[in-house]
Amino acid sequence: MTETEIIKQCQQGDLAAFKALYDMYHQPALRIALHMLGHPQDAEDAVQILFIKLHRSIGQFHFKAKFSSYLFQILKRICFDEIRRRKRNRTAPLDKVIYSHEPNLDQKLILEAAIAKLPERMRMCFVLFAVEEQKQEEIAKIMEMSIGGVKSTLYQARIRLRKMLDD
Amino acid sequence: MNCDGFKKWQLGKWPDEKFQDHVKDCSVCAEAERQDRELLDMARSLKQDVNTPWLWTLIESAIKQDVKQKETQILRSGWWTRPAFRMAAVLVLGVGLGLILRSGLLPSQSGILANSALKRVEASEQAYESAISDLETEAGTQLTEMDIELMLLYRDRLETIDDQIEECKTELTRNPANAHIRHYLLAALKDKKETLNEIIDWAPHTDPAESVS
Repeated sequence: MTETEIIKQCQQGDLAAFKALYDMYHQPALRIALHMLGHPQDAEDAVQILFIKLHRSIGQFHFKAKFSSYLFQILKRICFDEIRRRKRNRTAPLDKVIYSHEPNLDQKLILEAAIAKLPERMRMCFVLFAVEEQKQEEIAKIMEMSIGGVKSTLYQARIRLRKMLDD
Repeated sequence: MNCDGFKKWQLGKWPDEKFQDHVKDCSVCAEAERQDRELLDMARSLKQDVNTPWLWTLIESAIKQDVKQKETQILRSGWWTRPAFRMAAVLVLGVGLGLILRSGLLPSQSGILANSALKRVEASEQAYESAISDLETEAGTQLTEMDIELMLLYRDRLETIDDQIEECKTELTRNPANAHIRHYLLAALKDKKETLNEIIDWAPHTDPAESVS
């Protein structure tokens, strides 16, 4: 069954089809949420909210955009709402990451820690582009930015990351 | 040695071909490209699955609960307060207007407004339009803050109402004293004002999805 057919079935209220959609997208959604929120529990909460919201709104998806862009845009709003809520309540520090700070961190962990230090919008653009391999045009739609804005943000992100990795 | 070729390429100011030609003779940009490729390769290696076997069970049960709550809410709340009904009302108005316009029937004498009544109706329309124009800016800001699904719902609703207002106005340029069309125009303006007020009154944390989490 194609993605379009699955979505159409979901729009008819088919929960099994919705599970198929979940199977297709929950992993990238979890990864993005984890990079944005830092804690596995928060990332799972975000993904849970994402799929509940999606279940409510899937009837309004008119196939005008790529479904992944529609889904990740909802996820972006959930993550940014949570980050705003944390800032307002001054709860968990935003740069707190789950990764340990042992002296022998391998390159991957160092990169994860460096990504966590990027400003939120820049972080999400970079994760979408470099980890999830989304096209810049799609990132522009998800982030509600111009393509020029995305290119410039990605360039800045790479400069900052390279500097952090070199230090 | 400095060279901004890599930056120009990254920002989309240089096409791929131009940069590839340039990089053959520029060691600075060649090194920048190599480091960039290394960074992106490393980032791609972060694309690993997270093991969460219980997550679907939580989502499934929350969805079932959500559906159940929605059904109870629908039963409890009056049908007239539901967005679907409001949309239907707008559509009924639209269809009614369409039928009148397409039937080619001229309004009867009672359907034609007297001069004094016409002025009063026009004043009401102007009052609505002025209120709408004040509300539109505020509602526009609020729309950008909403969840995407709610924002799309409101945007569709406003577009439908705008189409009806436009249709009424077009018809009224031909026949300004047509009481039926004036009636539909007023109803559409009223609906638009109420919709804008509804958008402005929307609070970001009343979304029931957040209470499910």
